Amino acid sequence: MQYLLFNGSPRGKTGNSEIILNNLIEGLSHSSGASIEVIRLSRPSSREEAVQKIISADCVILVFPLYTDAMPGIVMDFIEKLEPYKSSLHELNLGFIVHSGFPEGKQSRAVERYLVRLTTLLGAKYAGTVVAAGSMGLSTKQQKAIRDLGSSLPETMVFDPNLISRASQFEELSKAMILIIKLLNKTGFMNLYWDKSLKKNGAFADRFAKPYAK
Amino acid sequence: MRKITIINGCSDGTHSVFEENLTTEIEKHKATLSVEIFKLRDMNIGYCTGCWSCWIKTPGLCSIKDDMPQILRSVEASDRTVFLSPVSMDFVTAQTKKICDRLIPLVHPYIKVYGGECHHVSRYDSYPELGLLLLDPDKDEERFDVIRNIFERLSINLKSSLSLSMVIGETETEVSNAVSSL
Repeated sequence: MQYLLFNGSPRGKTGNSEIILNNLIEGLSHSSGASIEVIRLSRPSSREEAVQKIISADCVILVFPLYTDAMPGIVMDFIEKLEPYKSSLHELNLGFIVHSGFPEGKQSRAVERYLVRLTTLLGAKYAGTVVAAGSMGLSTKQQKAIRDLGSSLPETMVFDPNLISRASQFEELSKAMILIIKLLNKTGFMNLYWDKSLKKNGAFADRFAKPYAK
Repeated sequence: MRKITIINGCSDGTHSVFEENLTTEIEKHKATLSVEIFKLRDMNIGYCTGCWSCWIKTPGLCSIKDDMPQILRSVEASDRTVFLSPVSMDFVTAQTKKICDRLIPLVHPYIKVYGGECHHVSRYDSYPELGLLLLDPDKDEERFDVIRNIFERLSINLKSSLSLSMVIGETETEVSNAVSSL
């Protein structure tokens, strides 16, 4: 079985997509006879390469971070290059892992609808979409679920729905969570990470700058 | 006078007749509408690299040196910013999506709860309404709904609203209707 794994993050190796991919690969490696190749779509030439190689793959998993409620621009550039393969990738099993800094799964559901359509458009078989929310700190439970998704994929060529839900954190904020976030906002804890980074860069005082104002 | 910014995401000259008709039609409304059109394929604009400079190094300012600041200023000054794109692989073009990604300098990295969801805090005092004009000769409603839904979500993240969304063909009547709705 030929597995082609695409890292759709503009950050390439240094982003959370790579962490997710490494977990997936660890799971997939349990299956004997699995040939696994990773292509990072951050360079234009690698997007060309990905298009060339997709024809000979049995299974493609595309991993990307949520960028303004959908796929990053570079991933859409790759998808446009698949135009010649419309309605022709009948043997391909195609799955997706979308991760977002936002903690709620809900934020990625709109693009999930698109990914289902894309699979149909290509004539491929849909392996499912994993929504891994809260990717600024993926929990050990989420990472284990992704490894298990990798181990179970070769058998069915479909992501196990139970594992999908284990990888996804939660769908919406509960009332209790909203209260906690509001409290964290009041105390300044909510944005501690950003404040630290801003201070480290000497940019804290300017953090509300409006350089493109009319 | 109402200010409209149009982000034209047509990737090539396939829709050039439509584009000419659009310009002609907009001209007829020049007493009431001030329209700025950005033809992305003639501009030098890179993809967002996810470097977060605009959030943590030079707040609000993108680190990529290209033509994007013109668009960001125009968006901020507009009453409505409209994404115009042909359907491409059942979505908007990569050219168009690229601009959506490059809008993140307009918001702050801080997160707050808005309408029960986590969203970025505003950087600017106000944002334009958003619009989506999708060119689709088939006018496929399901396909349009999937795309519109993503732009609705984008408008929530920009503390705005998708106050115009139309799927149109390229006939003169359709162009005229679209321009009247701007």
